[in-house]
Amino acid sequence: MTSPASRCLHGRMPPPPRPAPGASRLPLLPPLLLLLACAASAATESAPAEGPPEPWRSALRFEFNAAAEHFGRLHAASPADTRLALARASSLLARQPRTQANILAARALFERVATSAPAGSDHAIAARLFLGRIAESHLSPARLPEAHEIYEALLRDHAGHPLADQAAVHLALLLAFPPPGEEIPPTETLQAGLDTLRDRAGSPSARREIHFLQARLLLQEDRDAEALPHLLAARAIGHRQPDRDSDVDLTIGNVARAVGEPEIAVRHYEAFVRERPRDARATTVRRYIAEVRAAAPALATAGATPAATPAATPARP
Amino acid sequence: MNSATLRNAFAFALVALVFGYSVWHVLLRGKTRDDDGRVTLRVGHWLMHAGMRESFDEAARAYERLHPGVRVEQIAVPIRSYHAWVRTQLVGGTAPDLTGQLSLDEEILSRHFLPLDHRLDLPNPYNEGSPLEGVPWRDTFVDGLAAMRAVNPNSGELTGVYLQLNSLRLFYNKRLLRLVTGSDEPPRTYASLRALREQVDRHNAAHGTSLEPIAGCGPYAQHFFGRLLPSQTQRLVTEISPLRNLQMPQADLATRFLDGRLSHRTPELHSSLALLRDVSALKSPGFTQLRRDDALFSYLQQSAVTIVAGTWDYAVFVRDGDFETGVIPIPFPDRDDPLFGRHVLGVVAEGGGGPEGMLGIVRSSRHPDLALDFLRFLTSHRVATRFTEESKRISAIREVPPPADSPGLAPQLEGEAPGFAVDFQHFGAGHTFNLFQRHLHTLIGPRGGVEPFLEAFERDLRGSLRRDFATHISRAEREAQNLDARIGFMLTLPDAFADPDELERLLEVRTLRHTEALRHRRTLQP
Repeated sequence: MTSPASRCLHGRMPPPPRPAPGASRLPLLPPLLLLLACAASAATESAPAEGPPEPWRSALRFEFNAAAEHFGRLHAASPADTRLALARASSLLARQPRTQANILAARALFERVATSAPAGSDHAIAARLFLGRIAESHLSPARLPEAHEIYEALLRDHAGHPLADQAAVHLALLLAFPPPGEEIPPTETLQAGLDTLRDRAGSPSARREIHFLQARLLLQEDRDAEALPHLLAARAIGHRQPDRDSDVDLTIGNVARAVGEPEIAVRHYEAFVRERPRDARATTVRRYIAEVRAAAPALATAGATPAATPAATPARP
Repeated sequence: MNSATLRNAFAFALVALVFGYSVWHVLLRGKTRDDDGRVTLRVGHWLMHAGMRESFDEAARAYERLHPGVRVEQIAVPIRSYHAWVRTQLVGGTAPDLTGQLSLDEEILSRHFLPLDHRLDLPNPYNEGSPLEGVPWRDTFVDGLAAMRAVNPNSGELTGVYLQLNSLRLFYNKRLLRLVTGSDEPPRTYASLRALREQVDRHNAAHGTSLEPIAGCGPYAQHFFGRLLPSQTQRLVTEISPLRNLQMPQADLATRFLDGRLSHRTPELHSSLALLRDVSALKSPGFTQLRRDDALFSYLQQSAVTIVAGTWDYAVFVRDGDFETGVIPIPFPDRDDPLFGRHVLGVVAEGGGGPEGMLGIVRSSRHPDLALDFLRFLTSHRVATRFTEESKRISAIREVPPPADSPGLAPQLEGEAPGFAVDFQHFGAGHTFNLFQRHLHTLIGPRGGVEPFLEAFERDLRGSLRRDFATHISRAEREAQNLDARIGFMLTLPDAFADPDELERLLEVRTLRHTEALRHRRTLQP
C-alpha cells in the first residue's frame, strides 16, 4: 500500500475523491471558526491605550506596517492634508520589507508636500529635508550629489529654521566622510569648511552637532588642543540623549588635562562623577581629579600635564 | 453513511473540538475576575534559581493580605525555553500582566510594554515609613534606571524596572581551602589564585584526591574571561580611546586591527591571551564543553575548591552545599604581579552590576493599574529587603543592604576603569568571536599556546572582521533610516501630543547613528 505522499511523488495521483454526502455543510465550518476566533479576540481586548491616537501610536511602537496601512487610508481620504501626507511618507520609509518602490513612493509624497505646502512652513521644510535623506541614505545606490544639492538649497532658503539647519549637519557629514574612492580634504580645509557650515546654521542643536564632529575629527589626529574649544562649545549647548553630556564631560576632562587646562579638567571630571557615581570609570576619574588638583600649581606655571597620571604616557599612532 | 464520510466527520469534529477548547481557554484568560470575585494578576518570569520563586511567593501573599480582592499568580518558566515562550505569549496577546524582559530588544519592548516614564516621577507609595519615603520611584533604584534606559536608545522610553543586580564572584569552599592551603585566607589576588594550582596538585598527590582549583564551564568561563582579561588593556585604553573617554568601542578596535595599528601581538593584547591560557589551567579539564549545572554540581560535590559564578548562584551554594561558602570579588593581577602586572592600573571596577529581574507591564494586560501597583510593591524598600534576604541576591533598590551573611556580594564600585576584551564578542554578526572560539582549544589545551593560537586565528581574522564590519555599518544605517521615519511621525503628531524635546533628541540620535555608519565606511574599502 502506498501513501498519498508517495503516490504523489511517483506521479500517480488518483482522481480527486467525490464529495461525501453531507460534505456540502462542511465549508461552513471555517467561517464559523473564524467568527468564534474574532469573538474571542474581541473579548480579550486589552485595556484602552494611552498616548497619541492611532496610527501614530502604532508607528511609535515600531509597528510600521500597520501604521503605513492606516496612514495610507487617512491620506487617501484627505489627500490635501500635508500632515497626513508626511506621516504616510514617513511610514513608507520604515515599512517592511524595505523596497525601492516604497522609498520612491515616499519620495513622491515628500515632493508633493514640498511643493504644495507654503514654502516656509514646517511641513515644506521637513519634506525637503526628507528628500535629502532619501537621496543620501534610503535609495540604493545613494545619490550623494542630489542630496548635497537639496541640503544646500534648504540651508540657503531657510537657514535658522531648526529643521533646515539639520541640512547643515548633513552637509558637514558629507564633507567629513566622502564616499570611498573620494579624497578626504586636508584637515585645515576640512575644518574651515565645517566652520562655514556651522556659522550658516543658526539653531543650537545643529551647531552642537558640527562642533562635536569637528572635535571628533581633530581628536582622531591627536590635535587635542584644537578639539577642546569645540567640545566645550558642544557641551555648553547640551545634549538631549541621556548620558551624552556626562560622556562629553569625561572627554573634556581628559583632553583639558592633556593640554594643561586643569581648571577645566577638574570642572568636567567632577560633573562626570556627579552624574555617573556608579560608572566603572568613576574611581579612575576621582583619582584624576586628585592628581590634577595636586599638580595644579605646577601646571599653572609650567603648563605641563601631571606626570603620575596614565594619560601622561605617550600617545600611540 | 460510508466509512469515508465517517472519517471526515470525525476529523472535522476533532478540529472543532480542539478549536472550541482553545477559544474557551482564551476567553477564560480574558475573564477579569475569578469565580470568587477576586482579580488574578499574573507575573511571568524566568527566575527559577534558589530562593527566587519563594521570594515571589512571599511577596505575592503579602500583597494579597493587603488587597484581599487580588490573587497574584506566579508563572516561572525555565530560562532555556523562556526566550521562545515570552515571544509567543507577547505576540499572541496572552502574556502575563507583568512579564519578565529577558533578552527582548527595543522593538519588542516598545511594541508590547507600557512606557512607565511619567509614573516613575512619583514617589512609590509603598515606601512610606522607609528611608525612601517621598523619593521619586525612579530615584529609588541605585542607578536611576539608567541600565533600563540603555535598552531603548532610540525610543528613549523606560518600559520596565528591575529588581536586582548581578555580578561575578569567586565563591570558595572554606573547609577545602583550609585543607589545601592551610589557611582561611581566600586568594584575593591573581597571583594567589594562580598559586592554588600548585597547592591543589600537592594536596592531590599527598592524599590521592582529584580536586580542581576552580569548577569551570563554558558560559561561566566566558563571563570570567570578560572580567579578568580587560585588566591587561587598562593602561592601553587610556592611551588610545578615540574620544578620550576611557572606552574603546569594538568598531574602533576593529579599525585599528584592519589598518595594522593594533594586533593580538601588541604586548597588552598578547598578554591578555597569555592570561586567558594561564587562568584556564586552573579550571576543570574540558571546561569549555561543560554547562552551568556541571560546574555547580562539581563545586557542590566538593570536587573543586572554588567556583567563579554569578551572584545569582549564591543561594544554591547556601541551600545545597554541605559546607560553608565564602565570597570574594574576582581576584585581579595587581601592579606587582610578575607575570601580568605590567599593563594593569589596578583592580578592575565593575560598576553597578548588570540588571536582573527586569519586569514590565504588557500592553495587553487587563489590569495595568493593578500591575503597576504590584510592581511598586515589589520594588518597595521593605519588600526588596525581604527579597534580598530570601534570595541571597543584591537588590537594585537603594538603601537595601546585601544579604546579612554575604556582604561580599555587593557591587565593587571602587577600582580602576576596565580595558577592553580581545575576542570581539559583541561586534557585528559575531564572525570574529566565533573564529576566536573555534580556535580557543589551540590556546588553552595542554599542548597549546599563544603562538599556535595566533597562527590559526590570524589566518581568517581580517575576513571575519570585515564581515562583522559590514554588519555593523548596515545596522547603524538601518537604525538611522528607522529614526528618519520616527522623526516624521513626531513631526506630524497632532498638536496636543507634540514634544519638541523628544524631536530634538531623535534628531541627535539619528546623527549619531548615521555618523557611525559613515565614519567606518571607508574601513571596508579594499
